[in-house]
Amino acid sequence: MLVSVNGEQKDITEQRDLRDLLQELGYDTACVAVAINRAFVPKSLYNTTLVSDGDAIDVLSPMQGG
Amino acid sequence: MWTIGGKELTSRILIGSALYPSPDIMVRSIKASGSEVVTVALRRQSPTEQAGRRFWNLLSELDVNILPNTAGCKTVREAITIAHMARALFETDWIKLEVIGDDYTLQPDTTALVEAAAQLVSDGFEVLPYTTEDLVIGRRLIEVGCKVLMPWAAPIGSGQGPLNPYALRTLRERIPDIPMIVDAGIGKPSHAAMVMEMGFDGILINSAVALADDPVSMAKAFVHAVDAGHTAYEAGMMPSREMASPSTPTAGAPFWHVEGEGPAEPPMVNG
Repeated sequence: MLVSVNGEQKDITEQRDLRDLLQELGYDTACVAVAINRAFVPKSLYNTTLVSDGDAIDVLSPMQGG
Repeated sequence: MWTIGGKELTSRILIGSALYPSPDIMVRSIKASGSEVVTVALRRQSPTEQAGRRFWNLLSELDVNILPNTAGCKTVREAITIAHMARALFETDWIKLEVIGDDYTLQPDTTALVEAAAQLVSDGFEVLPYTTEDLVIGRRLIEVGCKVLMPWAAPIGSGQGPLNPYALRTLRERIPDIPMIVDAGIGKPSHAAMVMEMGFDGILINSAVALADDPVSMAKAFVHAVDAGHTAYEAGMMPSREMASPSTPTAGAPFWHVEGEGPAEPPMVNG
């Protein structure tokens, strides 16, 4: 299935939860916040949230800002 | 001392973390500003770079209050989602709420701002709304639960200083009891002094420091300006007058003025 992660298409062969996906992609889960299809997903739900075909996942990190 | 969201602050400068020539200069500038509140953002980043982690580690060493922003959000929904993500990531209820209504001026969409603020207040956030100098919008923001207002002086990053001093002064005078921080558009220390003299409680600066030739020295200059303006406000400034009024007593002036010479009566006396 295809999902978009930070705007990039990723082809994922088998269904997995958000925690596994983030780890697989190399994200430091202690230092990111995630939204799926523009809805915030709390960290406590990472391992019960299954990623579905067509999901748009945003993984945001701390950044300089004014 | 003054307070934001129940936290006592000594410094009246809030400072942004963007646009510095290097992370080291950012850290030194923030320290030089004496600021206890630093704004940050959330962005997509590549996991391999770990830039977010490095930035976060730098901020953690500073021991300051973190004020995440919703910069770039254009809708109520976007701003609310980013605010919730920021709360989870930075472990703070504080949010600098920005909902932008115009790409060219980055002017806040004030109706969307009020709607987003209302929702976020009910979600338990301490909302610091980035707004215009509009008095009635200020009142609406307070009605929905904002305890601080952050009116702009001029468009973000423009450095133009207060473009509408009348409206800023009116906002301050009509809503005297709410802490107000002038955010955006301050370009030089004199702008900061000017708004502090009006009675604003603080300023939020970023570009003015980060884009200076020497950001660390500029941060110090802002400390002096903010202190000068705030002290002047508390000291109570003399009213301005249309005409000169001699400061040196006129009584006892000597006799060298000759009738018919010099300025017309009454005689001007050197200050």
